[in-house]
Amino acid sequence: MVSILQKKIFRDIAENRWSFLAIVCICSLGIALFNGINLYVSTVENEVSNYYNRANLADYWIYKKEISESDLDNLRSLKDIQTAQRRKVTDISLPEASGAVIHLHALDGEAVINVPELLEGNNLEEDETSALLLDSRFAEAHGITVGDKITAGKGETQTQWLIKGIVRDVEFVYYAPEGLTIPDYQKYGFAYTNASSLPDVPFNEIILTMDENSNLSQEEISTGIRKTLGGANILSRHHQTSYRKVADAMTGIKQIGLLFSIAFFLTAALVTWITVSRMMENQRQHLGTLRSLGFSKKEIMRRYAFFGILITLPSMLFGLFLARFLIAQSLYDVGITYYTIEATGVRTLSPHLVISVVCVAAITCGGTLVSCRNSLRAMPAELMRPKLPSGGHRILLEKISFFWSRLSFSGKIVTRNLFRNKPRMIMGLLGIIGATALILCGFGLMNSINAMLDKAFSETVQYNVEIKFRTPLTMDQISDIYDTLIGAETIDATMAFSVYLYGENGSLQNPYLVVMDEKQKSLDFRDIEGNPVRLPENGLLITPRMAEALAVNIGSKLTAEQLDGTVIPLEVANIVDFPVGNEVYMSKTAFSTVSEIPFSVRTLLINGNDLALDQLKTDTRISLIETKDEMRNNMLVVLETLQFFQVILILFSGLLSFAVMMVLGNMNYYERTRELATLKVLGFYRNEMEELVLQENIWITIFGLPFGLLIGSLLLRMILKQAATPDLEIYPLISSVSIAIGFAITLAFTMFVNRIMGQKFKNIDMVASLKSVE
Amino acid sequence: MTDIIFEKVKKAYRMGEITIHAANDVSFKIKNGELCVLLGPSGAGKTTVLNLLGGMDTATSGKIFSAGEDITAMNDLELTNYRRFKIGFVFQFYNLIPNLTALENVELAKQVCKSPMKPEDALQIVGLNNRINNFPTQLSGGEQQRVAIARAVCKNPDLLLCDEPTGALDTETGKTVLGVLSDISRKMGKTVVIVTHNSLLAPTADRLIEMTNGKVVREVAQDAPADLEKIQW
Repeated sequence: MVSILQKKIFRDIAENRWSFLAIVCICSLGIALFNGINLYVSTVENEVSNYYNRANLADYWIYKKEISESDLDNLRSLKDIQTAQRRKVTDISLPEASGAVIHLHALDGEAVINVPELLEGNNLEEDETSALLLDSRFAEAHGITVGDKITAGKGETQTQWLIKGIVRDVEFVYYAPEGLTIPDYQKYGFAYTNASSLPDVPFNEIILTMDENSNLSQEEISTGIRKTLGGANILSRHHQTSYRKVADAMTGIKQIGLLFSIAFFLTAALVTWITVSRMMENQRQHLGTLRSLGFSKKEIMRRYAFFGILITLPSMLFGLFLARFLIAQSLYDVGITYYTIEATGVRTLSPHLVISVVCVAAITCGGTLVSCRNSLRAMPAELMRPKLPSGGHRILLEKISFFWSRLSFSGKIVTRNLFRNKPRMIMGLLGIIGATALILCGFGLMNSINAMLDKAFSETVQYNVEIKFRTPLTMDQISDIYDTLIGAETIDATMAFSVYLYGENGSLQNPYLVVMDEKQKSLDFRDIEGNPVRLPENGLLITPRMAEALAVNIGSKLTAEQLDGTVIPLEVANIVDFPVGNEVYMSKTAFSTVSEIPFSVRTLLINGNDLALDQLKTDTRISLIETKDEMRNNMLVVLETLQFFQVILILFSGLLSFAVMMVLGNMNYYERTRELATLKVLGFYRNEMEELVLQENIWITIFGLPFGLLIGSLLLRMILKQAATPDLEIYPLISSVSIAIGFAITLAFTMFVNRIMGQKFKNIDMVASLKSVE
Repeated sequence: MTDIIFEKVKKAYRMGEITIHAANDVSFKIKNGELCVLLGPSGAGKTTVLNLLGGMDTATSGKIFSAGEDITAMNDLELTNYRRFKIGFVFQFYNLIPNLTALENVELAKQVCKSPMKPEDALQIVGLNNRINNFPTQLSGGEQQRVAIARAVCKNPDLLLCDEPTGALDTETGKTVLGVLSDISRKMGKTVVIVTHNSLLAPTADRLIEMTNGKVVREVAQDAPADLEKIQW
């Protein structure tokens, strides 16, 4: 049954509908933000981890030229190893599909680790040859279906393969081989076949899973395996591309989202708390009446707590709706184009909803109850009398007569008013600061990303085409390619391979070690101060993020370990400011002093125009030709999530600042109706009233802006720090144009709300407002 | 300056399905410079009449002439200008701006008109010259009402309208305030209209208009108004 008190509360809400709506809106946005991000992350994490379990993702990938049956048996008998399986791994290229490459796994028996998930067609029969289970994304990109035949290789080595089924592979949730930044399904796919289909290829890979409660370290396991096999390349799950990219992306989003949500929530909470308390204070006389009618304090408090619930419930529903269908869905739609998993759709509920709703309820009910309790301390009779207007008093500024005497009359009124109502001023200030900070942070994200890309691709990168080879080649083997690239200004041949890099404190990174000629012109390295740096004849160059991750500095000793276990001792020669790429750099000379490995070419960095690149497109030695523009664009795609955040950031903080100004304006209006009516009776024009009453909002905004900039910069710094991965580092930057636009947006909102409030002045009923004290 | 004329003025409020006639065929005339008391029990419609005369409300029908113009024909802006330049208003509950000092409250009124009095002079007239830098909450009721009168007077209006100016005051303070108002009329030659339910004020007026149920029941010109000092209430 709805009690009369509840009825009364509903009517109060109807009277204050704009403030009420603004608060519901603020709370909804807070809930939406926190939940949206977490819904997305928990959906993907859940889908992925289920998939990893279901398909039994390997813990280690071990590569060796040839692996015998006994090698496998020996390995299986090692401590804590659950299962191991050997595979033949090779690449086949499809000339008919413009040289697309298929990474082929040939299995020894039925898959027990990294079990391919059959989507269409049938599994392979035992000992069936020349039949494939093909990557679903690749099949889709090439329009291949079950029953089709594809031709691999050229001339005598040409083979025909029948597509028996279409599959997904748990080790390629994010399939970006050969150092791609984003998947390229046109160019790269994978497939499964039986080992008997590849009689010429030896078994060259072992995948294995560890016992769940094994407490061996990666190092201990690697040593054990190498000892058993007599050397091998070992890749752990945490450094496997797909696993790492997905995990990094989720951690990044989660952390950025959390930071962002907290910043938003703090602002929203404060505004909500103050507004709700204010709304309650305006109920003072009603409280007095209720008390005098004999309602107990408890009853009244309980009923008014209901007011908090009335804000929380719609906020929860609306927030959840926005979270699920706007934020999580948009993020999921972006994510799912890169992650090849069974898209079960975004979940609707996560435990985060409870957290956020409890926070909102605590703030709304808390605000009401605290303010209600404060009012109820007074006697009913006292409550029924209007609260003495907080009397005017002189403010500190008046003592500075130099300043004070120069203020216009209305200037004095506005200034004194600002300081008269401190909670209102603080709420306005904090609201503006929070909203401005978030808006600037949004613009700053955009600026920072662009500045990073400019720095990387205009300053450091001096080449405009990169050619990657499938396997390391000698200079003689690629001399014909040099001939094709006759028009190039510079060509730098580089060697690159993946290494584990151990810092002095035992921390581990997994970058590419890039070896180039000292006289290279492709990368214009600069140190942190911007001075040019040449590749030194001793030691290596690392990026600041690598230096930080490994806790090393110039002159520190590092140990690089190749995937086959070969150890290379290194020393940090310098730290170079290159924001993209998970790479460390060495000169040929420096490399030759620490390693016996002969120089071989993995990549050509070319600067030049009108290059005959088309001729190279079908070259089977080449795995990738990428121009600088393509690299830049791919980088932008990787940053899609960040860009999405930026949009949400600007949109939500815009709404927040609007809501804050709306609440502030309304509060000002209702609490000063009497004053406004008096001014009206005195014959003030509307613009004069606006000047006297609304100008303070403009001042509050102007005071808040610089602090907003400060907090916004800090927030941006924190967000970008969280977003930094070994591949990418973005320095915070908010351009002056962005600052101007951000400031202008906030000011424009304030003026817009002032406009709306100004319109309301027309409707003030002088007679009713001045008749008597309510 | 011309007289104030009410011609068959009606003011009807619609309260749901009922129409309330707060002023029903009200006609009267107040001469320039008179101190007029508008007397009647509560609900008689006297405040409605005062509000209509002050341009704070519009009549349903009839004509009101003040300052030589028919104010019932004025639009919103003209009414604002009318209030701004011609009218001074004094309320029962003073309606001072709480965060302005007494002096500043008066200065506020000065802001909006063409030929204002010096605020200090206005405060002098109401006998409040030593507490002008205090805020309203630091003043007594009578002092606040005198600030309100000073604020109205400072505008140098043709017409001073007072709605129960002594209603919230004790006898002695009320007398002081009333004395101020009668001085403004008698010494400065302003037209002053005082609305009250207190019949004891009646003898002091040049003109007495009595209202009941939205109608004027008596209108008398008193040639020899009683001295304020002699009346008791």
